Amino acid sequence: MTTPNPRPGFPTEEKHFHPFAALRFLRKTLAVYLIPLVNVLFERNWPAFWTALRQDAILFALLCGVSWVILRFSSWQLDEAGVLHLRWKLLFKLDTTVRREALAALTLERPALFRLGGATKITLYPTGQPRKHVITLCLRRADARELADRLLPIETPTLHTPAGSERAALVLLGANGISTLALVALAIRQTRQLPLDAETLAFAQLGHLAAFAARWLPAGAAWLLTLATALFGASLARSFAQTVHYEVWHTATQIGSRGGWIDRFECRVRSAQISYADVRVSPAARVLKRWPVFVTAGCCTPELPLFVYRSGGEVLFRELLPEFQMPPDVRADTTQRSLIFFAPAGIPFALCALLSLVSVTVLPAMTVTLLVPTVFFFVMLCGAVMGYTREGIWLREGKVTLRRQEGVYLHCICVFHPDLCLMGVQSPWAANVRRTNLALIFPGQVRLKVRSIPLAEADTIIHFLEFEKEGEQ
Amino acid sequence: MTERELRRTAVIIPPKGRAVLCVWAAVPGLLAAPFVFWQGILPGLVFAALWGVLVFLARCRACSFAAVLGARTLTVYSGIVLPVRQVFPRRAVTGVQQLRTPLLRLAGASVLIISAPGSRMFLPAVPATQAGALAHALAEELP
Repeated sequence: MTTPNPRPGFPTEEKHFHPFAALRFLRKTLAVYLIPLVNVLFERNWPAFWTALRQDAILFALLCGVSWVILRFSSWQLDEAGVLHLRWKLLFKLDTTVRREALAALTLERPALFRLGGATKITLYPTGQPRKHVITLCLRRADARELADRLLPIETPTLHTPAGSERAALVLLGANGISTLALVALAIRQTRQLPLDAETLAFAQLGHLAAFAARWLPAGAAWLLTLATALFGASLARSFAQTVHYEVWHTATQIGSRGGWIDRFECRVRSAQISYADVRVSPAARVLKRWPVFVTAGCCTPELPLFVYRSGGEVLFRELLPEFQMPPDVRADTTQRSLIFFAPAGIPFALCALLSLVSVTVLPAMTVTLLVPTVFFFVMLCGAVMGYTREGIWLREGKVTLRRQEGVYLHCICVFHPDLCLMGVQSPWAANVRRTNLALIFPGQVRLKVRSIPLAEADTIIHFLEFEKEGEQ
Repeated sequence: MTERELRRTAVIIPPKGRAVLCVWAAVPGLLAAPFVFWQGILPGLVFAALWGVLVFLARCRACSFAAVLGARTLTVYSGIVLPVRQVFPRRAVTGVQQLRTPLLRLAGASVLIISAPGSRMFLPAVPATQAGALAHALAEELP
């Protein structure tokens, strides 16, 4: 665990960024090199290809020169008050200052390439600012560590090493691997056997367009699905690699986590700036009985959970987020509730189910392939039913709590930040049945919407903001 | 106007303010109309009718506008067919901008733009005295 800087009030000398900072600039210019190359490569015009290569080499040298200028004339410095100065000194002078009190969170990222180069990407999230005002710097490892320790020092931390996330990620990875293998088998079967029969059938019944679909669509769709599942598996493998050596800590003023095997990640969040905490209930979490908790501060919404706790092991949860209140475990009032919950999954499910039914008689070769999206949308529809019966907003122990559905996920959220703005929007139908959509707007332009709740519940929350807060003062 | 007086009443858009808003809504249509009429009389008439409906809807929405200053919040109501209610905690307000154009000055109105970390609220063509008092009351909460 890091310790605070031994010289907390000492200004640092003016330093330059790590050369990898130029990668962001060079990455944006990739299209400039590639487009002429791709053109001549497709035309198989080799003299033109060599000319394009030479042009690209000159262009690359020029852009390297621009990168050198960017690195040479930009710098950063910490003064004795702990204020970060970012400077640009060429043609004009630009000095951007970032006070440490104005920071909601910071993250340190060390992907494999950065680790080889001794660089760290540090992202600073100013309080209340939207994502476009986030400051991303690429520094040397020691510099980044020093900057993080000066801006958000970790003082007398209490460490925890939750093990639930590793197991959850492993189980998900295993499930994904099995499903990918099954889909590969399906795709191979579609490619080898079905198209010819289907083609003959389609020619007999539907003509050329259907024949084309029968020839290519089943195998193509199956391979596409396999690719999607494989990519999902790769992302799960990445998640698993990130959860290795995971540890979480809290101090009097902040909460944070770090971990990762190949790509290292560290997150430090100022406790007073936490907008909300979110316990994400997914089908996998239900099976494993391990609940990931995500924390959002300003516009900092890390993709990794802060920690994972298991049922019966809420001690860690209580220690890290003592003020957290779960939304009450009740069914929402569904009297005259909007059916909009079912639209995103219901419409594609109905279409896919209809197509599957038709394909049984017209194109049996496609039935299995069509059943895959049908099942997928059926699962999403089950998620919608869950949202219809569970989504809502409640007050508990002086905290605004809400439950909202996204796909098959159910988010159980407790609001911490007092600067909460609300926006209620009603359609004519909703106004008629006294229901409303309520958007909760947090610092950093983070929005959460609860759909079709009774107007009385929205009024309760507004009344709470108006009067209860006054009582607390 | 004091904060106490402001809290006893809702801030609405006066008829002159609504007229200014209608003029603003009509200006883009008036600028585009010659080009549409150039295509033919019928498209021009349809365009004029549609734009007229748009201006009428803007006026209706302005009629339903009301801002209420509470002890801890500022609430804005607008819309009849599509009612919208925005609630800002006063302590979350980070900036207040007051805009007055010559037309607004003639109408004795101002536009207030209230910023909070997460969002922004527009109070269009509200009476200048109330806008000033509201800006003053909210500015007291600024960090």
